[in-house]
Amino acid sequence: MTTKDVLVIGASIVGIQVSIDLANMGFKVHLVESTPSIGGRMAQLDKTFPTNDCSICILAPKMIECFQHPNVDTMTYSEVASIEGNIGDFKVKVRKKPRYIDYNKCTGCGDCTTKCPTKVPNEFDLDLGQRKAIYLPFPQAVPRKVTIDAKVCKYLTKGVCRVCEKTCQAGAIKFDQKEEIVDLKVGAVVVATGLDFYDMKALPEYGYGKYKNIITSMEYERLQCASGPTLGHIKRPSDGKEPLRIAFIQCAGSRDVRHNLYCTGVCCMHTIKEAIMSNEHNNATESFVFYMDMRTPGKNFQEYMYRAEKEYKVNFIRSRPAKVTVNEKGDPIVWYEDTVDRKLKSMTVDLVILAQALVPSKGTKEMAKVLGVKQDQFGFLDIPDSLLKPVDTSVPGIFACGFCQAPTDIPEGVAQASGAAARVAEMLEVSSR
Amino acid sequence: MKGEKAPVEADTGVDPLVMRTNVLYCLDCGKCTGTCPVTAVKPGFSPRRLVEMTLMAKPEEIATNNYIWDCLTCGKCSNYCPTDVRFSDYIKGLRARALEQGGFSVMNHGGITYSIARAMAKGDLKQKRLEWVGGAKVTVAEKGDVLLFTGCMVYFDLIFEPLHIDGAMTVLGNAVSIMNRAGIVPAVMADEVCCGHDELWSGEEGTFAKLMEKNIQAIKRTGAKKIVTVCPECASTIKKYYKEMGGLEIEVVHISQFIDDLLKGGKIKLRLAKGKVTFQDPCRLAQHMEEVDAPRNVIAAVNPGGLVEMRDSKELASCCGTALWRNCDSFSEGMRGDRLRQAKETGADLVITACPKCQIHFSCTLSGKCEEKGIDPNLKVKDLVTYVAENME
Repeated sequence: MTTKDVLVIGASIVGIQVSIDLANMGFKVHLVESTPSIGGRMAQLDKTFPTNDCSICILAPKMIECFQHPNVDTMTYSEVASIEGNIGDFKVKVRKKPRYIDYNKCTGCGDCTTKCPTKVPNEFDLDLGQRKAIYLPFPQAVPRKVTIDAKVCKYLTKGVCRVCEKTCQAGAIKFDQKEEIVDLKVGAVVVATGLDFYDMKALPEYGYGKYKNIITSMEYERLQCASGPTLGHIKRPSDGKEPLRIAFIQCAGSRDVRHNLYCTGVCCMHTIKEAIMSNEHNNATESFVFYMDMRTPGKNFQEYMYRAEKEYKVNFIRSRPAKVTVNEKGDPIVWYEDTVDRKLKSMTVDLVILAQALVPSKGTKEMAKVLGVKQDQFGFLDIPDSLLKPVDTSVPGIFACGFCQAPTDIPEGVAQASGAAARVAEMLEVSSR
Repeated sequence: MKGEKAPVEADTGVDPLVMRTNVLYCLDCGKCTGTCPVTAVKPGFSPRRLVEMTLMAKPEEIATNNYIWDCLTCGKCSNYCPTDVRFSDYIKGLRARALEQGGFSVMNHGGITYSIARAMAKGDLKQKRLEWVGGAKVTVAEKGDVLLFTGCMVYFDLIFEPLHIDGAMTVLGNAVSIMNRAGIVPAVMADEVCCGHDELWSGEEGTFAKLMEKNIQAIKRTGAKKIVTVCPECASTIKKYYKEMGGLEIEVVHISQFIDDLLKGGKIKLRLAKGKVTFQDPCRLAQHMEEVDAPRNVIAAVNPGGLVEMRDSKELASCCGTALWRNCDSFSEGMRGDRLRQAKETGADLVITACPKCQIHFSCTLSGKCEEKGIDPNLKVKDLVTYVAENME
């Protein structure tokens, strides 16, 4: 007997799109997300290319539409523990991690967060800012329910504190909450577990981790964002100075046989975007993009690059820099061969931004094992027929879309999401007739 | 550093050297040139442009191209190349072709090291190779599980006598006394010949093959299961090229790796040394053998917390400036000056090296005019082996 429920793993913009599409068609969707909020990587972005739209402004209505949809059962802070069965009839166990919060009582008022004495680096801001042990991951988080980080909470680690419990007027703190296992029966599974960042310390030549003013694209995204650790004022990490000369180094860890052979696909575009936005923040800001080839295949993408060059003081330098050092003031110096005039040069800037390679997320690799889905040589979920069945994995009834199967940008990921939803609908409808 | 790939079976019509060294994969990104220590001092030189220049060149043009002799074959470019172009190996092949066509490059010290190596390769040269053993009061054997490959240090003692280097008498003696202390009696070979490193990388393939053959026979006679060398050039040559070209299947380690293992096994006891020291990564150790941790572990054991790193260290470290006893010129002095200035910036008063050649080259520069180059003439240079031996209990 075919079950018409669908399991969607990962609540990024891609997972959200799959869920909304299927829910609108009348299927019951179980959306499982491992972090406390839905939204995924897109929630961390400041702007989107090539329109410079505010990322969260586009995403937030989608998050709410998905979360409030009567056909979507969203399980945040949860992970898929196991799966058995075949296409049309999968038995799934979902592990709901304890938030130590009475979900129905918490109003998301934030009083507990204000009073909590424990500060830890905020992973949402790539550890640039801080958060509390009881926290809302970001201002627009959905659901608007706090979570207690059991690894750092004073009461849960050392047995003293309970300040949040005294503060919470709703009585929502539940320190005795236990992990819960939820059993589901679904007919199909869609995986949208997304990306992680390649560790830039693997490229010692660029000095990431050694010098403060060498940061990654995503870190810079948070520095540009109004909800970020600097409230959208761009300040470089070493001394808080506003950077007016910024170097962007492309292909940091991608298109490189020593690291990741593949092209990450989105870095050329997000670098142009970040360079344009730097100039929008302060029109004295100049950017220097060190590139091998600018890859801009998409609607209005090449035009975006021309605009950056003409209107936003973005300079493109064809070279793959050899190393980055710093001077006594902490200003990074980029050493490179300008491959156009063939001269060895150095350039002193205020800030260096590495367009870090993106890799399949840790969750993608874990899910591949749990689901028994094949991975390719890089850890992406394998798509056996990528030409004609671009979202079908090696297991019938399990589909993959977004960055977990290949480098994709937002529009492509969303298109794949709708494609996956259509494949699921077609499959469940046809097999139930 | 990865070497050449196995020769491709199918005849593609493309130059086999180009195929084996991935040269056609070059993306023209310029990372090699930016990394190259030679380009940093000699702006006309560029690995990337050399590939461009030589790919379509006629044989006689290769013979007259002086740039192919400027390369130190340190391997830094190959290790940073995003498409795995094995530039050092490409240069090695080009040099062999240049020599065939009558190409020529300046050899230092009147070419004496090459003359000695050729003499060893040709006839049955009677050497007094083991004179240092008596002076050092250590125990060695003719056969044994561990073979100490002594290398050319005994000759360097004579050639570079005026520099008062930490030479064969001390380094080799110290290496054996460290081994003796750990209960190991190493085999040493009276009929050892030069490992052929300089000949191999200069394109003198014939001389190299003869030297290798003699050494392999001698090594087999010792019954050794492990070869330890005091020079990273010997280690990288025997480990990689004796295996690939001569079929020698014996474990090869550099002395820094060997001492690191002895220390980890608690086989030697140390008195702790004080003061700040810095370390020059030899190119054959750091780039060719990709070993940057072992010498640092050893220094940390002798002098915990005393190691201060130069600005460019480990994978990013540059060569001492001259390789293969060739082309030592003002540019080489420039590279050495940069390394020694970096050493001074660390505040250390001792530069530890793990290669006899680094030691000789630094000692030479330090014996010259230092102040005008911003080099501290009081810097001392010492081999890692001696540093350990001096601080043994």
